[in-house]
Amino acid sequence: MCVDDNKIVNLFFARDESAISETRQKYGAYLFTVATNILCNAQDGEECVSDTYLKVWEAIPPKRPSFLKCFLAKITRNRALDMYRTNSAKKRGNGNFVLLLDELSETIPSAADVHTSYENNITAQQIDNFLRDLNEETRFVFMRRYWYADPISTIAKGCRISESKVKSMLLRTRRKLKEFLED
Amino acid sequence: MKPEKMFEVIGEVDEKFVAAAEYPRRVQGARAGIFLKLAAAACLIAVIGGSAWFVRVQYFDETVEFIGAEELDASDGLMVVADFLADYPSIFSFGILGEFSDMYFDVHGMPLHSPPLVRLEGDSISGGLVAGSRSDAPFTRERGTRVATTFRMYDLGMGIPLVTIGFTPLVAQRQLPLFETDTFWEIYKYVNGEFVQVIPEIFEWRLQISAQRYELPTPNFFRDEDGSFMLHLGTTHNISAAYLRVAITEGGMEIIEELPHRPDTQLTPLRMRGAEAEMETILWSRWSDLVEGFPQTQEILDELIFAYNELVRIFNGDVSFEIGSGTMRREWYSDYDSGWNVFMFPDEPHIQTVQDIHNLIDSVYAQDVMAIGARHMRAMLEGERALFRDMPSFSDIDNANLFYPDTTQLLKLVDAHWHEAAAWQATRPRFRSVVGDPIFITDIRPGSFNALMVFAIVPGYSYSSSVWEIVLTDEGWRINNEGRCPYEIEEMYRLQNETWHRWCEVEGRVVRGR
Repeated sequence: MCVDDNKIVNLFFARDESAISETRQKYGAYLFTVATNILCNAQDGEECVSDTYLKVWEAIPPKRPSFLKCFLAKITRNRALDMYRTNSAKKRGNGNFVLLLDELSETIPSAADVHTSYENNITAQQIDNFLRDLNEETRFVFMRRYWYADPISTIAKGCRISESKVKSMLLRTRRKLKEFLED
Repeated sequence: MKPEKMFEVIGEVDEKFVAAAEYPRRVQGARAGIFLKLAAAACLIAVIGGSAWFVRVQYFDETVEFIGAEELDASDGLMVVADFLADYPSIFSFGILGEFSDMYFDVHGMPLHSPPLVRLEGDSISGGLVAGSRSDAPFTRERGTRVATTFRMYDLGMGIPLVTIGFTPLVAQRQLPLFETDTFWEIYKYVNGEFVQVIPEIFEWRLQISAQRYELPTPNFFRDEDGSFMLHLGTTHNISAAYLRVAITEGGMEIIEELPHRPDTQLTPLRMRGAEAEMETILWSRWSDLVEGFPQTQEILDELIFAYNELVRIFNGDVSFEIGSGTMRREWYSDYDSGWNVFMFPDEPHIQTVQDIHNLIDSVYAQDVMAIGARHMRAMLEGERALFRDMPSFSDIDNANLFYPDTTQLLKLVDAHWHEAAAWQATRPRFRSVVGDPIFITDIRPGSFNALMVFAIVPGYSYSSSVWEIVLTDEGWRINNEGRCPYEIEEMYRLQNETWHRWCEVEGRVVRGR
């Protein structure tokens, strides 16, 4: 039986190593997916998730996440991104994520429109504001793609909509995001 | 700014957006008081401890949760059906199956046709699911390699849950009399949180059995009166291959006794048949016990009858639909659910209800509809054998070489028994697939559709099929071709044609050809 999140966090606070195993049991596959969406490599994904456990062990305590799942996913995501950067330097390809980054490049305000310095100051708060204005479905798809780095096909199946619809939603959202950031 | 930086920034958005972007993990209500559907991505079963059953549910986002079986369905259906899996073969990580699932589902890249189905019954949990590929069939949209995976888990009361797993790669079974792929079994026990394979030597049997190119179900365990366990290594429909008395201990499993009628050297079909009656008597007695105590049987039957009648009503009685087909593992499991089963391509997910079927037929256009069938499987529910228990004796067939079918001979035998079988079937209109059934409606086009006939040689044994193009006219139906037999076996072709038309005559409502 999986332990609930509060108990897992309490185990971390108690420095009980079973916290790791409970986390692995409940969220291991989930974190692996988050990692491999970015890394596109199972071995790297496993390594990333293992790193996540260590980072969580170091972070809790003192931190007491209110939403453990997100907390874990975020750490995994960041770690995966770091690994991606390293791997990219070694020219190790990972198709889905490269494609995703290509897509994201469309959202970045062009230098012709804004001050260059501005480009480097896009904040999560701005993205929050942007997301808040989206309808629920669009926001869902956006988050699945650009937060979870889900492949298009996965999003389509998960939302029970066609891939083409996902693509068109994302395209429109990216354009909107770019306009939003340029305003 | 680099896109990576943008990705990083997006990673910092409010957690509530992250949390809200979870894929559905709905738990739907029980349908007709029978089924509890978990709208989860995958449903895995795990047995923890000695006596308590837990269902391990792996949700779409791969979060894992264990739910006590009692919480799931203690009073109603004793069944758990995980939905959505059809869309997500890749996450069918089926813990206990592990790499095997990858092998089949990933290599073939096939969508699963069925949700995994789990049944709790007495000492065991059983279930199965099927995958199929549609890549290479010569003439229908439902084609290609299929893989059925079945599993059963047993709480043997000794703190050693045991799981048996059977893989049944089916090669378009409804179309081809060829089962080219191997079938194999694995038996595992649950030790310290992991499933460990036990006594693989038993499964040398599998080589012999699979050499017969015959579909095999998962091994069964039965508790004998003296408390020992009987392991039945059976083939489809309990045409038994081996029946062993085994002891299961912490150390593994040990064969105590091989029933004397087990063939000693080579499992020739005839020798198997010789042993079958006795085996099935034993098996059926076990199943009977189970069925007797199974309160939902009637409810499920009611569902089936309703489903059947609805389909007949929709099609004005002119078309017969598969219902109760025991011919394919796919149906056995995927159709085990109550209500409707409309097979479709993944991009036609809207065809799920009776109204959808109405709409479909109204439009008379849907390239992607593969088959329409009512969900069924009393046979499975009642233990595979119940459906056929009062079937007329096919004594002649008993002496036939069932496993290396002599096409001509078999078809002649069926031909000889046709009226008998049809008469039997006529009394059981809702379970029509025993002989000469079912019809699958495929490739619906404006003004016509194809009817794929599956020709069952013996109860539950699908042998062959033909495709008939049915043209809709103002006056009714018309068969536009004579049925295309893909096998170029002239005799079979001829006999099938004859059988088809006789069937039409006998049934009087299937196809009123002109």
